[in-house]
Amino acid sequence: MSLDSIIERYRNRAVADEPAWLKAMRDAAIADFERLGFPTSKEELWRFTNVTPLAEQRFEAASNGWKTDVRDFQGLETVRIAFVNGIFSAEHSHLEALPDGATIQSLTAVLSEDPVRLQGRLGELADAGSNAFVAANTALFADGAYIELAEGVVLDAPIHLLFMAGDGDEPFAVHTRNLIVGGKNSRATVVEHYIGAAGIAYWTNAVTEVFADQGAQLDHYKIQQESGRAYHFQTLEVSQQAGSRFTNHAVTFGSVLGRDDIRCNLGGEAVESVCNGLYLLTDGQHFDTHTFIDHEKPNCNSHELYKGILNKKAHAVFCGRIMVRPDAQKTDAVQSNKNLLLSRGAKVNSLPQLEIYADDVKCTHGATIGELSDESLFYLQTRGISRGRARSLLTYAFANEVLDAMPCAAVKDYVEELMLAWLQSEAEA
Amino acid sequence: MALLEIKDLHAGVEGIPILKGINLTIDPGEVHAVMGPNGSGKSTLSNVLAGHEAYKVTRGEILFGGKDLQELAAHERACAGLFLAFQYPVEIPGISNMYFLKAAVNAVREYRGEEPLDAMDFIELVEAKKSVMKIRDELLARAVNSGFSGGEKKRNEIFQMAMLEPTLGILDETDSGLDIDALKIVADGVNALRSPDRGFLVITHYQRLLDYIIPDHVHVMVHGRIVKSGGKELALELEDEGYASWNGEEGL
Amino acid sequence: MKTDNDKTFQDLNDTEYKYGFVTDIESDSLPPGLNEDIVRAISSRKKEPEWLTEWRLKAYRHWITMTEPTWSNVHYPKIDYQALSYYSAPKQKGDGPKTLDEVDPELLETYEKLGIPLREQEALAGVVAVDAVFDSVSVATTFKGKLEELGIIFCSFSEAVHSHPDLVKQYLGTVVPYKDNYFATLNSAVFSDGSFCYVPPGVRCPMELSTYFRINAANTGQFERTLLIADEGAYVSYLEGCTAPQRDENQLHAAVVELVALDNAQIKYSTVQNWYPGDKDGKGGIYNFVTKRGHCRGHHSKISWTQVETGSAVTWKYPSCILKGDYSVGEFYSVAVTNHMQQADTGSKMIHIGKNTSSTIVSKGISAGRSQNSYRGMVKVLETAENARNFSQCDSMLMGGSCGAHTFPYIDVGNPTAQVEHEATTTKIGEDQIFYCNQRGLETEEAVNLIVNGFCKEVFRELPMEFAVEAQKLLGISLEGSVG
Repeated sequence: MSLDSIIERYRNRAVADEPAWLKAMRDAAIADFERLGFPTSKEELWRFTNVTPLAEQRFEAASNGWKTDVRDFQGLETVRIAFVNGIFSAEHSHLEALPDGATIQSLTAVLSEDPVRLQGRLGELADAGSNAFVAANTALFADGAYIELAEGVVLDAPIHLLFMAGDGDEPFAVHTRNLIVGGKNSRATVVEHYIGAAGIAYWTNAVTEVFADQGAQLDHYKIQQESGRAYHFQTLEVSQQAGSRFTNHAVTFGSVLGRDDIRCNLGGEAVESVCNGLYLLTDGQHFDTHTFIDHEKPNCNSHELYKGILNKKAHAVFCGRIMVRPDAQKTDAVQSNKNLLLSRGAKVNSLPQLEIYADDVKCTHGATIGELSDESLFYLQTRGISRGRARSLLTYAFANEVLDAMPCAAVKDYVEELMLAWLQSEAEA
Repeated sequence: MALLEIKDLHAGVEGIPILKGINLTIDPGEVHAVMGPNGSGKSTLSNVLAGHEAYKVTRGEILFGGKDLQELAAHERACAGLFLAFQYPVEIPGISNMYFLKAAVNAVREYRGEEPLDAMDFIELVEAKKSVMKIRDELLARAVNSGFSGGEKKRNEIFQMAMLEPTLGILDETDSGLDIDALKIVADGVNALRSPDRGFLVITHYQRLLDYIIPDHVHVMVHGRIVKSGGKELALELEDEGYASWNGEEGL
Repeated sequence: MKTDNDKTFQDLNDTEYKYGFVTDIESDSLPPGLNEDIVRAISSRKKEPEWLTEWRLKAYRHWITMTEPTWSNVHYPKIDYQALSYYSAPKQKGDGPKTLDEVDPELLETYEKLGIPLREQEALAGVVAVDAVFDSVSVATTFKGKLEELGIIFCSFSEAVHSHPDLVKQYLGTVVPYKDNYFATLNSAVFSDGSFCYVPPGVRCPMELSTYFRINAANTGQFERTLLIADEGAYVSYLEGCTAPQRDENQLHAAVVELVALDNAQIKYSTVQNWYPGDKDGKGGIYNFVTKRGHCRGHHSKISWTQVETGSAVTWKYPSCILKGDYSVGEFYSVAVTNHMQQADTGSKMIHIGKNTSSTIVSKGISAGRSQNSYRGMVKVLETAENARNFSQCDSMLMGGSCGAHTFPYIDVGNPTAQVEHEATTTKIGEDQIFYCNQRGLETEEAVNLIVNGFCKEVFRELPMEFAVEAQKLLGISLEGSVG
């Protein structure tokens, strides 16, 4: 259903004045999408995530409207670029006060003003040929954020990429495309923030490509607060050069069905890569995280910590693959996935995977699934804390490990508040 | 009125009887030591007193300040003034020691009908108490017992006791795994808390701790019963003779 | 240090398979190819009852609708199933041997060369009862008489079909159904022989039961089927050893093992697998595609798998436990060594269905040469499995920079009271460890042996004593002198 409507949408779209290379890329991508179709649970990578509800839904084009206020990160002069239903919104953006050498623009603006900047980068990492979601996005993306930092540029304020979904009577689709280019020794914090008006149904299909040149340091966050009826799918592709450091912190609250596909390519020596995540799921939410950490070169470190708290009939999937290629000696890779089940009916699939082709490496992974420990609950009780409160405290403590690893205090506080509200509402429900 | 009165206490875990008729009375201001070999039921006694759900009382009575202890949930016992310093304190990654203590102190205050302490008052209280136990600020900022050394954990337990100001402090093998310096710090902390209206139950395998925390009464526990009671000299006697004779007397 | 390592790697590559001889013995084989007539021919040669012939045919008919699985991390040329012979038995006159004296002396000699002197075993103080399977046909079972006194049935599978048809009919295919998977289905159609064991209620089998499997004939597939039942309160420990001659062509081994443990029963199943692994360039060797599964049917039952895998060119094997009975326990202890061009994809499945079920997985993978060694496992906790517990530990050790070690666990949990933990690490033998040993007077080779044995000790200590010694020796031979 939706497959046809996507192809139909592509054929009928108003042909924008785009460079030939992009047109060719889009044509190839729609052909890929037609060939691939939506994945089915027969495919190993989609074994535990059924996208049938999405594949059978017809999505209209998005209208344009947003009424709710979104709070800034406190105590910080944030640079913000905002999109409403996928289209750049000058009204909600503030892009003043950028230092020289820093570009933050909507992708459409770059395409019309200076498309050469995108060539050889856009579509370079995300492979439409093997992933239907990337293919649909490549064919149909309308807009997104473009961030480029020249060599040595340091941005202290977090860059807030705000994607708002609102006011759709009919289910609609938003194909967002972001491109982040961190030049040599540049430094920045980027927060991708997805937020949807309560109760509306839509499909966010985002692709973000990140290039971290030599010595670049990028802290990337994703706060996912889509509406409870939304489908949220994102592919994050990261290419890291020697001496770069990339950290990712993904926190998921929203969407009924969602998935993060994260791939970090450690393509230079002495690279550091951190991928952390926290998913707080309840009711019928299904969220899937697939990570692929690809160690190509020697002396690199990667660290992954994914934690999930599942209440009611929530279902989480975590599949983390670490690849250590023959050249990647002295790799140090750690991966951990921990899940807390708060109630009957919740379900977890955890698939930590190591593929190692070099001998002088240190790789570990671990996964745990369980409920709160009775010993810890008792210890808290002997200190005067009631059992109910002890439960909340320990649940909070469980999640806190991911928050503690966030380098930006303002973002951390913001997320912590959301988390506390979530815990409270789950405790009351 | 006695602080703690244990009458003919029988208790066990998973249907296996461990305590087989304990009688013990602790008056305010007294320090009682319970000594015994491994497996005699010492830790069971502390867990029963603190209200661990896995331990079931099958017979007998425990009165705490005249109230039936068994009617209180574990946290209510803590709020009522019963404190257990654990032999193996659990680690709670993700909650800082400070945050945890504040939650505990205010839970106890709320139970007593007192106003909760705000952040400033709380910090003042911490400052006042921490020096005795030689607790560094860094330890307060770290997650509860996470990555603490054995000595740090035990000091942290006594520090928590100082913060919560219980009327009965139970020390479950607090000396195990401590070197002599750490042992002295812990003992100093406990001695500083001794007062006419506070009692202590010191559970230990060795006499060593009792060189520093001088007990008023010593009880020998073997196979779930108190087989002999006496003054502090009883501990020294045990040190010389060991528990072998008691095991024999019980006939195993 | 470096040159020393290089030298020992060379030694390692030169280590040869010592069980690679061929026994010159007349055998009765069916022509190559597979069709319904062949299935019928196998069945009729074994004088099987009609229900079993029908069961084989059902399996065959299902098999032709299936495709060979490709999901595992092993690669091998396509097998031509029509080029294989599905039955090869040592020729014998009239009925099978009644005592060892009737067994072909060539065969007895073969087993002696393998270090399994059947005669001597009989003379030994009765620690191990052996059922020897030669090209899929059971040739000798020792200590039968002693076991019979206790009511324990231990005999070849084909004998059991005739002597205890009701038991076979009751349990065959109830753990591994004939439709289970490609190789198990093939086995169900063409299996030739194997061991059968039944331990009656309350009986503790006083000796280790043992089967030795030997593939001899060329171009034959080996398809044994083992069925082991421990009735209520019974206990049995079972050992399985395997070797094959050195041949340039690959040989297929697709066995099925079914274990059933009723209330309070315990089965301990140990394997030392040393099939011919092929030469150092990957020529020849056994394709070992085996389905092993235990069913903890009763409450408080326990099934424990221990395996030491050093052989085969390609291994595809996941000994599993279905924990259906409340309080049942499943265990899997494994050492898998791959060298040269060997590929192993092995692990375990623990399916928790009953309440308070618990399982343990300890897997040690050692890769050397240009081999690939994968752990693949599944822990599944169904909604019914209140308080289920699992602990899995998968450690890999790499020796040299041309091999691979991989870990693919699947964890499915659908009950909040479950506690499931999985840990995996990858290490190499540190030069500092070797140096430390050198400094204490150990040669590098000894040091490696010591460290590898230390790495595997959690598994070795699960093996019955006689086997543990053999396994350690085998490991020493497989990895002679290798340093990571």
